[in-house]
Amino acid sequence: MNRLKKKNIWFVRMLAILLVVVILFPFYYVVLTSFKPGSSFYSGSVFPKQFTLDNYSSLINNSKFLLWVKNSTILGGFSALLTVVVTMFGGYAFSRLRFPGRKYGILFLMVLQMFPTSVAMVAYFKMLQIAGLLNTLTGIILIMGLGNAAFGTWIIRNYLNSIPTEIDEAAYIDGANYWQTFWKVLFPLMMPILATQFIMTFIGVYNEYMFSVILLFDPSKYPVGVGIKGFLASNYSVNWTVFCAAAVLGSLPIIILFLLLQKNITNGLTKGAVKS
Amino acid sequence: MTYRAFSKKISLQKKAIYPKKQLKAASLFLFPTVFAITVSTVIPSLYNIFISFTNYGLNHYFEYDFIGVENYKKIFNLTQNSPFFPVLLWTIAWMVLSTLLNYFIGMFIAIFLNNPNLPERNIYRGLLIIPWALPGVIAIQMWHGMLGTEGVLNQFLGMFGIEAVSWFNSVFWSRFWVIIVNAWISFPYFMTITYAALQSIPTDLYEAAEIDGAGKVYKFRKITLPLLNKTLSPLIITQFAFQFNNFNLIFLLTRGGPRNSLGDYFGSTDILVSYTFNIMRELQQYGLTAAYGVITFFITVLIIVFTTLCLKGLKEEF
Repeated sequence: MNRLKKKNIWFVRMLAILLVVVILFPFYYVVLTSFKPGSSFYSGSVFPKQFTLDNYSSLINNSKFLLWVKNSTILGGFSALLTVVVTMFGGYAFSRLRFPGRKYGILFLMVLQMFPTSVAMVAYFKMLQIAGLLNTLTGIILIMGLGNAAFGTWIIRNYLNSIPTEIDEAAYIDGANYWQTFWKVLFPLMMPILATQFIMTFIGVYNEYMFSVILLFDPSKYPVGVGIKGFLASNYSVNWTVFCAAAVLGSLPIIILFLLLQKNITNGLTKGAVKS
Repeated sequence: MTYRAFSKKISLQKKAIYPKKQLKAASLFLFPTVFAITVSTVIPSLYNIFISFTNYGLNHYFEYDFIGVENYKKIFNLTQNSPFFPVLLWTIAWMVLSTLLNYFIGMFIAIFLNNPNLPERNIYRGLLIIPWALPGVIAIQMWHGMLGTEGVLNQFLGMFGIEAVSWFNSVFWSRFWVIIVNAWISFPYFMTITYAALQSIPTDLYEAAEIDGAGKVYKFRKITLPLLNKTLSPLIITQFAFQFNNFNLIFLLTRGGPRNSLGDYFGSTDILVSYTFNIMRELQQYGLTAAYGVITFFITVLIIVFTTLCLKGLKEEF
């Protein structure tokens, strides 16, 4: 019986390892390819014998990659900051203050965060044109930073609901007003969710494609995700190995950010849905 | 007590629920959120509805006219083979298939790895998160390259003597791959939330069932599955709405193709959002684009309402 059980566990273990290998193969392959010599799909076998850093050096020296990284950082950083600053007040109001229409407001937020902003692409284009913000990073920062407000408010409200109200009630009794309570008592406690919110918005903006293509015309203003498409889609040459190098370098910071904050991100996403 | 005194008391009580000071604070604290939502969502949506009734576009760029419901007539025109209906059908199929597949693959792997006899199970879970941690915009393009005619998959198949397949020129394979690649990217999310939900199921439920003589399958069917569905169903609604408008995956993997003929502005994997994007970029009929946007918006609302009614798990939130 015991031997049978042991055999069984090894079977499960092999299955688990097989699963991991199959699922991670594309990732492994791209990392490997980024060190391959040559530039096309035909560059030798799936498993190369030679390793080179040529792709990385040509990516840094002969393309706008660093500029795209800078653009992505600016877009993500400022949008995330805007979202956090805008939503922390609203999240507090929805969690702690009582006002008429509050219940409908929460429902509205919840439904609103599921709406795709992309359906109004023409309106955004026209509005930025009127404001003179077409082909600027500022325009996209405004759309992404403010457009995330419903989701952000909803998440912060859920987080605050998990903090006992006794903490701020104690502050009221000591004579603090709402503004003081917010800054002195709750703001320090909100730091984890604000950081999570910042990173989540940053990653969301990093992954944005449609608005960048519609609203930016100048390739030197492109973010990473849009810029690297040139290595794949150009008609003259497909620069597959350089693309892989760009994919590795472009993904690395996001993977690190994500894994560092994975627990918080999962909590933020599932709070209110999965009760623990 | 007279009626007047009574009603006065009631109104006093009502006022007591919202003290003036709190109302003032609430309006100040709410201002940034309300402002942001108004500027970034409400005004663009209304403006979009306005544009959808005009002929704004490449040919009427500076001066455009109000043309009533012409754009909508064009979209809903059955006799002139409007692409709306085939695109909508595929969009819904795509949404349902990919959401359910992502959900069940993630759930299956989470349950599979939740085996207490595997001490290293957290390592597997940590590794399997990587597809989710990758920025999607890059991961999808990675797959686009790998599935190219000369890509690694065809090289791999070549080792077994299978001729290279031009995946993105075939309707079936394009549709197959958008769903598979989406599952590859999204399953870790469902795996993670399923795992979190599994931890929240009280163990005494299982113990009680064991005392009553319940077997493994019975416990899974009667305890695990219903409790998982109950906690996870609200997230499925969000997923439905998200997949319905998952522009990145479709556009970056297949560009919506393959297209039937050169004159078409839509391909077999185009969903409503990517098709709308094609109209804006290729046809440059902005009025028509806006009309499609309005329709997509209302369908998304319908989907949210419909799924919410179907999965009543949400009700417990309030």
